[in-house]
Amino acid sequence: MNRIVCDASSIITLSSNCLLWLIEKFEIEFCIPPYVKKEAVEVPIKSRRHGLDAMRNGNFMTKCMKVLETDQGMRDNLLKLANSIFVSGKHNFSIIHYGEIDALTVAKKHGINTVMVDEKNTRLLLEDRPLLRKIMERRMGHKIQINSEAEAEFVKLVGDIKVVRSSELVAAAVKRDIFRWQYPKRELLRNALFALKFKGCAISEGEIVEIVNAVAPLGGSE
Amino acid sequence: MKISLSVLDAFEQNGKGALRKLSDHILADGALKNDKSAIRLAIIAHALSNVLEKAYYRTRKSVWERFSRKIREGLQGVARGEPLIETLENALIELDENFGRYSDNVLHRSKIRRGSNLYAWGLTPTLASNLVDVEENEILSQSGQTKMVDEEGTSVSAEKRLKNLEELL
Repeated sequence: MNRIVCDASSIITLSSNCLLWLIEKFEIEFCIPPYVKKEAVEVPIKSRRHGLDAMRNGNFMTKCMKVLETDQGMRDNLLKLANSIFVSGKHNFSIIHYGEIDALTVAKKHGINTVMVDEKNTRLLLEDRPLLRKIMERRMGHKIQINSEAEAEFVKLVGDIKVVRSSELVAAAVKRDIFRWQYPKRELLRNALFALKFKGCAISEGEIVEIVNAVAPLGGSE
Repeated sequence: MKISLSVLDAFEQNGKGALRKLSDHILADGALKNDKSAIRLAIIAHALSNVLEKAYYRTRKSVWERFSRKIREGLQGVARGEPLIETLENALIELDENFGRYSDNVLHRSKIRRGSNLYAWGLTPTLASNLVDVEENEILSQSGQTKMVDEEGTSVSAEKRLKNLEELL
């Protein structure tokens, strides 16, 4: 069975929209590193605001997701590399937490080549570091450089990992009639994607239009 | 952190805009150096700007005077290197408690906003949430309501990403 590693952001956005149930409808194994369980369950379970959501997530994860062990040595090495890629003056700019790196480490360790990550910065770190650098410079007003040695080493280790988001999962679910309500597919998908976006899935309005047109084109059959 | 005196100056001169600019500057510096104390000071400056925007905070004179005094003493102490950041944070929490706001107070809202800024600037949400001490889902939820992703451009097209997923299914 094919497998995907999920990070905390994708679990959070699906859960916030009560769409976590989609995960068990696909014939692939959804895996998480230990840190994701901590972030999505063990930390928020203590808060009044998010305690019940955390319990619901915990229940679901125990039933339908597999926790895969990480490799601490590999994780620490990847973390050190990732946090050395961007440099400002004499300082390495730390941008990623070991929790996010854990998803990549677990994927690498267990031979899984796809991760589901809803937040934008880990995705850009894997796919487009020059764009991420530009964003940092523009928004922070500081000159940022890329350490090409650290970058090359990082890419060598994890550059082949593909990133998908919860938005693509939902799109696939609508396309395959796994997610089917009484409303037209086009409207259902559009609303679901915007709901994910408003809860933190890093998808642009342009991409939403693109996905909706690809999955449920105007004039297509329902 | 001598910059805390600039924050005090801006607060005492009712400089909401100046406080925001200072907060941005301190936050960027703190993020680049991974300096949590600086980030906490940036959040305080942001919260003070929000406090100045709301006239009702000044309606209870004794509460306002007590608050202003704590802010003045706290920021002067921080400039001298004293560990008074928590005292400043407590002063903000206490101010809002006087107006019936407990968990959703001005400090908490500033933490979420600044955390969302850190995420916009390039930090991952888990790192941002650890630096500002709010839960990751609060940062993601706040960020989702902004246009940050729309302004940035795409690395891989959404259609290609969907195809990648469908190959797995």
